[in-house]
Amino acid sequence: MQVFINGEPVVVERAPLEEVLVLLGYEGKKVVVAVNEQFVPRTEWDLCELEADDRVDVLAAIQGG
Amino acid sequence: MSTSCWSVYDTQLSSRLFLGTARYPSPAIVEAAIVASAPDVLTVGLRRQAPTEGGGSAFWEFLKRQKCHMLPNTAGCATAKEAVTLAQMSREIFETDWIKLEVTGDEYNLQPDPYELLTATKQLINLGFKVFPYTTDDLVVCTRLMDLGCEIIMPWGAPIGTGKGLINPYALATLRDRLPSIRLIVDAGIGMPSHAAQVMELGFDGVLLNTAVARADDPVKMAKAMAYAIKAGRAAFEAGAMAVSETAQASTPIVGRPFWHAK
Repeated sequence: MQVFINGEPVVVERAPLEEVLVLLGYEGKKVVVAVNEQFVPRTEWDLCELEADDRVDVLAAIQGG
Repeated sequence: MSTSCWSVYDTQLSSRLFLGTARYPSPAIVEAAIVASAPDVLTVGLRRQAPTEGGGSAFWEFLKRQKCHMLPNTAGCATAKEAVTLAQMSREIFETDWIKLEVTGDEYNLQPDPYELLTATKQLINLGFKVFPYTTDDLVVCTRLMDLGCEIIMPWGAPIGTGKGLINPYALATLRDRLPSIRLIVDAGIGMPSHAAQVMELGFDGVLLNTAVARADDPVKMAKAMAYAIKAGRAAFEAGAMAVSETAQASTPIVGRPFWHAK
């Protein structure tokens, strides 16, 4: 199925969010996630099943004003 | 109130400078600017990250070296929904319930949207956040933010990144006069140390600035100048300014003036 990771289309197997993030290379990275503009706490990544066309935002800390 | 110690949401602070960490020429220069100006609070943000970018690990190493409170922002959000989601993400990654709430209503001057700001503030306070709202200098909006439970409000001096200084000193003075019990910080628009000193002379509790330091020819020297100006302005406020007079008043005593003779 196709989902969108940070706005880019990506084809993944149907799987929990945690597995998808590992496959994409985010394992061990200090990032936070929202799916369809809803915050998903890290403790719930293994419970969150992605659906087709879900929009996933993976964010990290940066400089800010 | 002492120039050396104050508090925000029960957190004791010694510096009245909140410093942004963006737009510096290099990571080394922002770090040197922090050393030079000794802020207690640094503003930070969140952005999309590709896995190859390392999860912001270099920035984390930088943050760990600073002995400052982190104030994450919601820059770039245009709705209350976006801002609340970003605040929740910030709380998890920065491990703080402080949030610098920005909800932009106009892309031209990055003016805060008061309606979305109030909606987001209410939701975030219900979620246990300590909200630092970035707002215009509108008295009624600021009063509503206070009524919702904000203990600090951050009106703009001028639009973000303009360096214009205080475009409406009357509105800011009115805020200080009408909301004497709340913490007030000018956030955005500062360009020169004199602007920062002017904020503090009005009786504001602090100044949040970024671009004025980051885009100076010598950011480290300008960071130090800003810190001096904030301290000077605060001391002047506490000292109490003289009353302004419409007519000249000689400083040197008139009595005993030489070369004076009755005619």
